[in-house]
Amino acid sequence: MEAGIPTLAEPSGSGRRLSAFWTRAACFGALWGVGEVTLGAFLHALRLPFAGVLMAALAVIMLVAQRQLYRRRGLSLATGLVAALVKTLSPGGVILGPMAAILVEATLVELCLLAWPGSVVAAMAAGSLCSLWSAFQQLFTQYLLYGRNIIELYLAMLRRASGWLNLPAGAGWWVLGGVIALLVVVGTTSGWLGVRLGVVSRQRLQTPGAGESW
Amino acid sequence: MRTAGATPRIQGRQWPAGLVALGCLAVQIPGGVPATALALLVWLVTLLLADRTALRALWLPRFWLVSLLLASLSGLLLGQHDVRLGGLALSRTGLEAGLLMVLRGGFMFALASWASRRLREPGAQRLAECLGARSLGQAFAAAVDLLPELQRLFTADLASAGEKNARGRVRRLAQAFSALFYHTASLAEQMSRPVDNVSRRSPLVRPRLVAVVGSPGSGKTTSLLALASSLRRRGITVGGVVQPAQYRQGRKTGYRLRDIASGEEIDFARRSSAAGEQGLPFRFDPAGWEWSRDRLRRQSRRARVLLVDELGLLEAGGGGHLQALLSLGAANRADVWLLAVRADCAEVLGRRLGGFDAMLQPGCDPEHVLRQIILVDGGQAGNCAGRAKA
Repeated sequence: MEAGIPTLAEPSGSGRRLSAFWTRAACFGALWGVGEVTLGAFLHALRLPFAGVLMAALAVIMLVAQRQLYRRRGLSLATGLVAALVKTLSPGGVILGPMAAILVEATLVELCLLAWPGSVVAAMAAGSLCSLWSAFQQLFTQYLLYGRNIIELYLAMLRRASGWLNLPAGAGWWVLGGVIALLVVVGTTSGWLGVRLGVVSRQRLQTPGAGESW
Repeated sequence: MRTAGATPRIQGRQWPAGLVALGCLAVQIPGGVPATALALLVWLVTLLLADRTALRALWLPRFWLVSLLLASLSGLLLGQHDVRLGGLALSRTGLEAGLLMVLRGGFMFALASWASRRLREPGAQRLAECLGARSLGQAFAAAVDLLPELQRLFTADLASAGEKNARGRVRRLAQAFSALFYHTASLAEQMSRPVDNVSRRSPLVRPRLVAVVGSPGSGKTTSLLALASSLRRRGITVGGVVQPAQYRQGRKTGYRLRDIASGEEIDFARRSSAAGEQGLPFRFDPAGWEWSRDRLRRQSRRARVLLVDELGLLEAGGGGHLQALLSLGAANRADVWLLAVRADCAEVLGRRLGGFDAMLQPGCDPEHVLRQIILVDGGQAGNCAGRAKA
């Protein structure tokens, strides 16, 4: 190595080089973290509904594509750990919620891609799970905050709303089913896009001039 | 750059506060309003003594309003209506459940506010190392160092997605996301390879392409030669082929090819009365192309920086040195390709090569090229002279 050229992969004073595994986790974790801190904060400020689902979809695309490049077990989880730590640099208030979301999404992708990292079906399953988790994370957080009474409260509200609108008793469940189906579609699409992006990026990395768009 | 290996340290009064937090959580295990109210009270007093900033962070009217609304709805919707309040039939059980929700919510929120501040402290990284996650701590430090570069990529790639109609905007956004991912993957790949002078770069990644762009006669070849000697002085191995023009009485009469590493030269092209390839007034020696291809192939395996001169009309048409460059493929081990590119062909050549990572003017500072090499090494890249996705 030439004198005077700094090398990030060898933090000064540690005397130990960061492995390729952790270097890749650091790069993609930083990318995910930057996305969460900037784009995530922007969407949060806009108070868009299902902004979390959009962020989760982008995370799935990135994680799945990353696994198409590097078939290393545990890489998605390690990337999530780094991204969660990067999120601590966010200037927002409480960050435990987003950190937990990042870790759960990384774990779900890791579990789905553990056996078949190149499988489109596994990627779609990962996307669906992350999308569903992201949508219902709020409910889960409220369950942790307020206890099981919150679920009973929501069910009572669902029943009462059905009564006021003169809808059949099971109508609320149909609406819920529709929302879940929509989330699954978003999730599977993000999983498929992740595989596609990974394949194209691999070609592009290997050959100059190849795969300029996807 | 952050250093690792320091001993873990938890700030002054936060250590007992952590113990109190655990105690407050334990008190609530049996459940019930009194226990939760007690835990909340104790925790608020603890925050008052230990971390007033976290206490101030609890001033979130929206959160408390939603909590009170949920509590009121519980009284209205849950259980038997056995209490009348202001003419409204309410449920005692529901109200108790609602109150419990507000108290628990308040406690958990206060706890999260305190814990979030602890996670922000530099000690969190050291604590992670203490718990055996040394690599994670280093990866975090590396990620933090990368943030400015990624932030720049993030804004540059997404800003390039500006389009007037919605459909075009979505397409450009997708391309920008793809470019962002590719740049990150490229960075990861280059950072994770061994960084010795005889490069053993991963075949998964293409080199960084730095173009010195200028019109004919603007000094591209001179710049390339100056950059080569400057890089050599810094101990960086440089190889490749330059194509110095030959002049007689102020008129360009032809070109020679020079091997940068050995200094060996051969005749390559002579002025011809008949128009040659791409309408150029020169006749190129086929043996010269073969010689150039052979030198590039050999030196791309040894050199850290590979120079190729005079990429112009021939290469824009798919011929010339372009064939030699594209044929290197995975055999190439050079980190950076330093290319002299004619200004009027830069866009086409950029597309053919998958985009230039930086574009420089002739006579540019060698530091710009060094920055590209630093980027390869994963160091602080700074701002390169210009980034172009042709």
